[in-house]
Amino acid sequence: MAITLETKFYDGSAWKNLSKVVFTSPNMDSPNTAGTRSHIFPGGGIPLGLWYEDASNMYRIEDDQILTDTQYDNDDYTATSGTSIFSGVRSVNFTVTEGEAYDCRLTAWDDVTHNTTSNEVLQGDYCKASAYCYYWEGTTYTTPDSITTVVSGSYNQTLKGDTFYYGDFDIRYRTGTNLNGDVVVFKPILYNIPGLLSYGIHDFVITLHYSYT
Amino acid sequence: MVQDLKTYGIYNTVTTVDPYDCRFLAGYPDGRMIRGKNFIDTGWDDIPQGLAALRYSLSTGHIITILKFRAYLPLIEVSLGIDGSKMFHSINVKCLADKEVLVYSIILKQTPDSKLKIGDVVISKEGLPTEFGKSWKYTDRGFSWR
Repeated sequence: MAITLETKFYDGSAWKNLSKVVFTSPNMDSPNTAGTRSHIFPGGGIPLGLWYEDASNMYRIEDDQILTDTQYDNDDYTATSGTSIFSGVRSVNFTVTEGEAYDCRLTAWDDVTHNTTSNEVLQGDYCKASAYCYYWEGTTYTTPDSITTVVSGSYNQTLKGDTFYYGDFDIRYRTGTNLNGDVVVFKPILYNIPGLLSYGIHDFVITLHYSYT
Repeated sequence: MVQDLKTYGIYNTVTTVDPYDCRFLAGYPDGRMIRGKNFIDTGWDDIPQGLAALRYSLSTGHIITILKFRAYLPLIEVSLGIDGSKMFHSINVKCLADKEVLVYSIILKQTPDSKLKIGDVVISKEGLPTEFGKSWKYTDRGFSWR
């Protein structure tokens, strides 16, 4: 059976269609116009922010790149000291709206091919994500009646092709009153970037790899 | 100091099939031929059991004939990027033999430096599955009473 997936994020009040994840300095208003990039270099005291972008705007999700707490929370914006709460609200959401898929794997590849990792960011194991797969019951995303784990969460997991990933697992559309999902949520992190990283733009893509009939 | 702004990781190019113009062709003993819809919504789960032949037609003109086994389970392998990009990697046709499963992987994309090109077939082997879902389609030699 084929599968239909929606890729969205929740900005705290409404769902947005994700078009890009951007890592750039956080010294700009949020929301800001899509495509805007900070001209202040991260590093040397300026942190690297996490932004989600839809077709019109970009939204600052994190002011810094810090590891996430090893727990999942669907409605908590409060950062604890030294860590960030991993919440669905601040995550990218892959939501199954029809069908089912097998052998799913969240990982990162370089460029447009989705199958090579010859990229400094990936080779240095700097691309990480915290991820969780579940379905939920209720009518409000931020206050579900219940959450059922499909795959246990993985926190601060390095993503690099077939070497490091979150998976493998199966997902499917849940039918039933007020059932929603399955949902794969994750928050990308660029962690421990060294000062000697080559100057420039490093394109890579985080993908959900899956199979269907 | 002015530096040239380099962009890393976008120089490679990829060529892929048109998933809307690829499909399976399922033949039956009475001469019927059922054409799949495409690779987005294949229609595989809706076809009847008892296949006599299975082929794949790619948008590139490749026709790949799968040898006859006891049953087939085709799995299309794709990746969905958070930027909305979608890549069709291969279709992996699991073929049930007497004591094992052979997997025919039909390549659906290529890059300038990739060894495998669109339409190439890689055959691998795996153990028998523990269960058979409804997506397994038996051939006319696949039933146990034959």
